[in-house]
Amino acid sequence: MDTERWAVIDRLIDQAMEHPPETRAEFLAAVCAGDEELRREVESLLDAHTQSRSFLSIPAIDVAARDLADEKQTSRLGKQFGLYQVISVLGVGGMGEVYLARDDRLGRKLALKLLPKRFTWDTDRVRRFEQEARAASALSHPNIITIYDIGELAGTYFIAAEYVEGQTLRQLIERGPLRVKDTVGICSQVADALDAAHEAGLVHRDIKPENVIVRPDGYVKVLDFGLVKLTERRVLEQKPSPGDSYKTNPGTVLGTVAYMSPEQASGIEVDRRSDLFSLGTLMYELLTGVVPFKGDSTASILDAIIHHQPAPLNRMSEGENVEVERIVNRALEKDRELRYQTASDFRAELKRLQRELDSASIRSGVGSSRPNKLNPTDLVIAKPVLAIAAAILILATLSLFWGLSRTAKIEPSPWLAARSIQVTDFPHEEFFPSLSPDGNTIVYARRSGDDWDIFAQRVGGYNAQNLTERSSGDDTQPAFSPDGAYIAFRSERDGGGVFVMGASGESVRRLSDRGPAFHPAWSPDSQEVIYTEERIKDPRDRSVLPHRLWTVNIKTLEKRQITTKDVAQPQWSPNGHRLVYWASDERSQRDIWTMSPRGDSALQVTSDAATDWNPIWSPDGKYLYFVSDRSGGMQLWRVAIDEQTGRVLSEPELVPTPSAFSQHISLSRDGKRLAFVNVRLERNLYRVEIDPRREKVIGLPQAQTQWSRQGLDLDLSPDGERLVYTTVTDTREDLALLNSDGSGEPRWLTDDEYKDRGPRWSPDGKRIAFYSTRSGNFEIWLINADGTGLRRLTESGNDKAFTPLWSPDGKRLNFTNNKGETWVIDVDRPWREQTPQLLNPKREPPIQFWPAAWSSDGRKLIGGCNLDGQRLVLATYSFETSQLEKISDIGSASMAWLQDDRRALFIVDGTVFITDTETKKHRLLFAGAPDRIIGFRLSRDNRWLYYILESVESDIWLLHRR
Amino acid sequence: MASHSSHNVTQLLIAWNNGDESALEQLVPRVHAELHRLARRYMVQEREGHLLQPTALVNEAYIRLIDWKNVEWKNRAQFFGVSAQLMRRILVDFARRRPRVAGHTAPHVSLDEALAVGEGRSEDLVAVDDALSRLAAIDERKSRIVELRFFGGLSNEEIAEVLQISTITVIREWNKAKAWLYRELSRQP
Repeated sequence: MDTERWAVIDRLIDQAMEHPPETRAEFLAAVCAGDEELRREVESLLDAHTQSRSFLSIPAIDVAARDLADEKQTSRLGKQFGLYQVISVLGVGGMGEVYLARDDRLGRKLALKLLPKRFTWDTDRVRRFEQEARAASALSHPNIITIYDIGELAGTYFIAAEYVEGQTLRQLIERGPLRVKDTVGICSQVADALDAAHEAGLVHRDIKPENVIVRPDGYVKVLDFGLVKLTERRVLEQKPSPGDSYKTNPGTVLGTVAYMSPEQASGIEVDRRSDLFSLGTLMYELLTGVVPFKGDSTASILDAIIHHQPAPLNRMSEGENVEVERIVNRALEKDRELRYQTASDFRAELKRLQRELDSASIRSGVGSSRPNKLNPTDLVIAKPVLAIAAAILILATLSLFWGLSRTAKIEPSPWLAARSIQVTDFPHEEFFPSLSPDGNTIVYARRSGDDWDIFAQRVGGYNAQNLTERSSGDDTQPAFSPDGAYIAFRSERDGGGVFVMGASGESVRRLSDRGPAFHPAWSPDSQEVIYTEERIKDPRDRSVLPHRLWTVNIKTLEKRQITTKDVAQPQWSPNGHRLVYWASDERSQRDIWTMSPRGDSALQVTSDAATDWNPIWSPDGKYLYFVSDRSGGMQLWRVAIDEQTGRVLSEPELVPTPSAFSQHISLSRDGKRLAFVNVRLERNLYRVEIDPRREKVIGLPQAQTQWSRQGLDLDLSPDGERLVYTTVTDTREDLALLNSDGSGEPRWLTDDEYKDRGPRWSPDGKRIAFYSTRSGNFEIWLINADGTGLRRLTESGNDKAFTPLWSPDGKRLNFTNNKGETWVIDVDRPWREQTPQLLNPKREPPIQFWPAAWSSDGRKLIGGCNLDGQRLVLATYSFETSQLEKISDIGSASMAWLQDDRRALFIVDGTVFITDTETKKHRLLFAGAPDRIIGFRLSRDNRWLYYILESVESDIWLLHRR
Repeated sequence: MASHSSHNVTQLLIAWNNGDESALEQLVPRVHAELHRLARRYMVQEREGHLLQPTALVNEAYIRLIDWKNVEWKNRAQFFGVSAQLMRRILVDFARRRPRVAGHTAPHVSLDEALAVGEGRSEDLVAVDDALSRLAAIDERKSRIVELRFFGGLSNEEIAEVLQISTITVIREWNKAKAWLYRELSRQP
């Protein structure tokens, strides 16, 4: 181009810019006066002008520096990236690297996509990246790849997604056409995924073989959801050159064109029906091995899509199948009004066909030798493909636009585009954030020195003010009153209870009686505080004592018991219509419930195997937010609800956070700020040598494992060689064996959906007793240490059976039911021939006794007992006298006798104590502080203390939406 | 008062401008050091809220390199021009010698990745440099504006001063230059 011609163009651009966009074309047509090339040139530069807004927005030195930073970070293998351990490279492309990584806390593999810094210069891109990845992450469907986490770490944007092993349809097609049956099966799964996405208001826009992965088990996963594609206009602008061809140039932009719908190809706005056309194209290709619309160039492919009919299927594919042909043709209708209107219609037809194929009522050609038959071995040996949704495409082109076309049905979550801010980063734990009603101040509990205090911090500030500095006991669980004037909280001071203070820590007053009173929550008028008698730390651990819900007036201090039913962490609805809480049912399932403030007309909100807990009501009353492990980890969810009736109005919807384990939710009054706690929890097995005579720990603790799985209960084999423990992953609890020196790989004794807890090795080391939900309620079960001989010991029905303990001779077992009754049975006699012996002495109110260890002489048990009324205290039971005797005021759930059968160890609050049951004195033996010991066993020779140490790092985070 | 090192840089720039190529040899390591310093800043695990404030970081980098606000320089405009040219040359050379991530082989790269490679060239300094040279052939002024701003880190006002035109013109020219370059870089190779 010469400079004169350029000067003309340059001037025309200026002039055109002075016209409003709608009249520009007209203006240009007039001034260019038939010089088409000139007009095109100016128009394309005007387009580029709008698209290049953020282009070159950061200086070159910065580009180079980010490049360099990327390069230095490229070698990530084996290293930790945030919460993830990078294992291997799955793919490296122009837009970034995809790694196989492991989340050690959850013990799962994932695909980690990192966006190089040099691509983060464009704020528009980054915004879209975040927004769209969040949108995709909100889709929860078995056929849609799951996005676990998105975020930014030290300037590198990342997406953590489900790792899928399998082959893309592209890889399968390369080996030839698929069988009709397989094609139909795959496409109906894709249709299912599309249906879910469409319902959520997302149009995929890029259904093609590269975006569908088939797992070895036949499950189909659709990738790249919620992501936007090339705008149609832009594709048309690309001038095809003679070299452009789909066939000769796979792997270029043209690959995408072949699966476009006519409306995409014409640059018309697309809707969900566009995806159905693309699925039709995909189906055609799977059946025939070739795409229906071909051409030598982009333009000719687009032309074929818009104008040409594809070659009839029956000439291309195996056999003749009128029904398949009809379905594909309907999907490939040029006029979208004539196509399938919804993905569910499409899927229904496919399902019907599938059924017919299964019953072989129509000739399907199955068994023909030509088609590429899918068989499991092909798939199993397939190399893992990278399966990562968002990032790749987000950045694909500058002319992308936000692809959420909303459907009326479901509003996209307002939290999708929320900004996440880390509020605290102190070492160890910060818990229980509560936002002031204006959302500007956040109070929370933090361990400060030896005790917990309540701190107040401005949102956006870093200085935290200690509101309970002068109190020596722990102060936790702060809750701002709705009028912002008070903070209710739990304190251990003065016998413990629920207290209230002014918003800046002044005028502390007691609200509850001394004793167990936790989780205070305010009535909407800021006049009353409700609280329960159970402290919830981990929703999987419930107190065995009856729960009572109280309300207290903060002015008159008048107390009233609302209910004695199981109510955990209750909260008021904003207009006082109902209370929300969670409760465990007889299957130990944790679900969200609501009830009237009087404690009646309870209605269930969730009812599934997931652990749902920690609910709060949104300030507008329209949603319940809660914490759930329904998608793995612990995440924030919300569900639409009618505040007055408690009627549930939607399915639970994920509130995306940059955290794999979230809890403790608080919302500001305008609903725009949401505080939560990001918890990182690790449990590892240690052992330490002790000197029982001097009651001292000698030597240093030795880590036996680097468990990624969370261990709960454990038991040591009698020979001290092996350990059995409960692993917790997602919603499952299984038993596993491990060498006690930590060597070797864990071996799973059980591996199923049931909860298996409390394993106890028989004295001969051959069998393990445990309690399990495998027959419905918790019952006692036995399994041989080699994994054989699983059988049920008890049939206690609704009373359930927990915590088996072996008698030292291995002939008897005791267990405790949910009434706190401890029974002794014969191990080897069938249930029907049992004459169980009840140990609890008769008394009103009934005595509960939860034994935790049987003495080696067989004469005594030690355990928790409600001898004092509401609280569990440490007590021994004598088989000779049939009497219980209190040993200590302290309650505990984990105990062990020393060899002398006189002294015992027990855990209180993460610390191991030793007690002499005769003198009734106890002293501290071993503390893992600031980490907590949550379970322990003694070796038979009493030399080694094996224990599980739990270390928690938790910080307060804030989501802030516009 | 300029620091000792930036004073030196100024002297070296003058020398380079006067045709002393050996001055460049001494300038390059300084720019590289600054680059590495910036890169390290990006790699440090910083907390949210402290991240990516490129303007401040980069301004700091330029100031550390050449404290031009304090430069006693008879022809300020000429000085700006020289330093922008220098930065362009050093940075493009630097980029040219780096391995491209896109060139790595990988087990599987989707079509979209391949597509992205083409688009990703827009921040490729080498490609920008090439295109800028082509722009210079038809529109010298636009090319200089890009050089001063993108490579030299100058503000629109400073560019206006260097080129003796109004700030409005700088902005308009800059936008058109960007559009031209953008289109150039978006074209299929």
